[in-house]
Amino acid sequence: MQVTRRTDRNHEVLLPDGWVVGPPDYVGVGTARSGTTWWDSLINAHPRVSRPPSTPKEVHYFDERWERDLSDDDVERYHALFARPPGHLAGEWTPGYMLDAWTPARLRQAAPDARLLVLLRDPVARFRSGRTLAENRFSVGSTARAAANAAFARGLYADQLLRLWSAFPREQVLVLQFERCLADPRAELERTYAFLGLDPAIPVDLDVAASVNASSGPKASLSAWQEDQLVRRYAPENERLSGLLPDLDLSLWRSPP
Amino acid sequence: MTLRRQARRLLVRSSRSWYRWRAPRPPGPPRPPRCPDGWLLGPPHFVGVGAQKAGTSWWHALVERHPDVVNAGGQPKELHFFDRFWEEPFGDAVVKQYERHFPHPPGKVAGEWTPGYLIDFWTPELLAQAAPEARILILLRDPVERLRSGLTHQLATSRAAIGHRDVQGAFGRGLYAPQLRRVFAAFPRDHVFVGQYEACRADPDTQLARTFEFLGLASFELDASTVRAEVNPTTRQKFELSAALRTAFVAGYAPDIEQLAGLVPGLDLSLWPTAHEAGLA
Repeated sequence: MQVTRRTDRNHEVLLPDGWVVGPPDYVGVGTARSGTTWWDSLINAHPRVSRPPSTPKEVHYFDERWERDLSDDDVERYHALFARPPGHLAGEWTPGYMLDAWTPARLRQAAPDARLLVLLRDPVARFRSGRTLAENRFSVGSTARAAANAAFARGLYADQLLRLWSAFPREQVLVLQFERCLADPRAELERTYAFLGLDPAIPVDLDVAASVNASSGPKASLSAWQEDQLVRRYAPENERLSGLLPDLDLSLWRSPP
Repeated sequence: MTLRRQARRLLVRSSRSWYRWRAPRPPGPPRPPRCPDGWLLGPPHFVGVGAQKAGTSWWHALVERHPDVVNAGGQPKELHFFDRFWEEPFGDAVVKQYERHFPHPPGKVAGEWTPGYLIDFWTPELLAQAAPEARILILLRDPVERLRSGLTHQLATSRAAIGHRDVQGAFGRGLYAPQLRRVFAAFPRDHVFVGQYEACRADPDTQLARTFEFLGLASFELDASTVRAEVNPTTRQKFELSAALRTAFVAGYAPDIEQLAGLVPGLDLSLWPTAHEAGLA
């Protein structure tokens, strides 16, 4: 027997017998072009993590729910996206959540006990990562100037992190560094599993090397002048971030000579 | 030429002209004014760089009332000269183009005020290359009020509903500390005036006197009705935030306001409701 539920996007979700819905156990909230699709796929490879095929990695649930407060119905619809067999964890990863000032509080309302994941990457590399125009193309007046500003703002991590911490206890937030994940994926993945309350043993047949989304889309080319500008403009902001995250290894990120 | 090719060519040509007609004006400043005989060209004496929705049109109009400030050819307040130089190469020839916008007789001064310069992360350094001696004017406003004013403005001017990326961008323009850091990295600290819109509203005469003094201009008093005549007043209902949304924005701005207090020692946080709500004033 199967039970049918309606989700927010009016998709019919077939809920297998015995599966349960509820708030997500983990929510990735940042940041775009930082390897989140790769990391999310590694989490979902764990035998105790499930995601219904109709639920995407990026739900974008709170994006357009900025103006009106969340109703009980909104919360229930959000939960309906996370069906899983009893005892399994479920979650999503929308890299833009961290940027939207209204989202942390709404996420706390909808999923107060969720573990939050943040993957940070050298903001200069993040900026360059090819989607700088695409990720901002829907903004009003999507000129090159507006796109550059929006892409730059995504790399100002400190304020985003502080907003997250103002809505969630810090121990509920795990901040990972993309460059470390690349260098030692097994150690960082074990940390991630442990943080989520999972058995940290990595499935034996899992290929942990980064390959998901690795080279999709053309890379934006930056002139030497642009690259130098970004390095110097981000430097004081990275320093500030480093004050908030003592474990952050700034030597992995570009800094002015 | 076959009929088919002719038809095709006609179609392509008409779609091109259609595109030209539809294409927005390429970004860039207006044509520079004519430089009257005996006047000088040079970098601007003052440049307002921010912030958007912080009363800068009003304040710029008052500064232009000073008898020693000239605006040849009645150029617009906002030249947007640097907007395109994230993408385009910048150099001495471009600096000369910028100088052509500021003709002035000996002994008088000229300038402009483009509030977008503050958020454009590439601009302060280029502006310092083009006008190293310029006096920089910045008006700040309570960030949540600024955001509300921006959203009100956007609702009034855009037919499309406000999307979350618009709110994201508007919120970011109220995070002043990183923007000020870029200006302070490019200009000597005592060449930058950071005023508060609320202080200007409460006591325009004193703040205007401060502004003139900062610009090195002789003291000059405007009559009260001129000073209080707002430019670009908001005529519509202000955008209303729900209590929960307001709380989220206040919490989001609190760490930035905390930094501002250190960056701008004279800032009077008691003028900002957001600072009160965040427990910082």
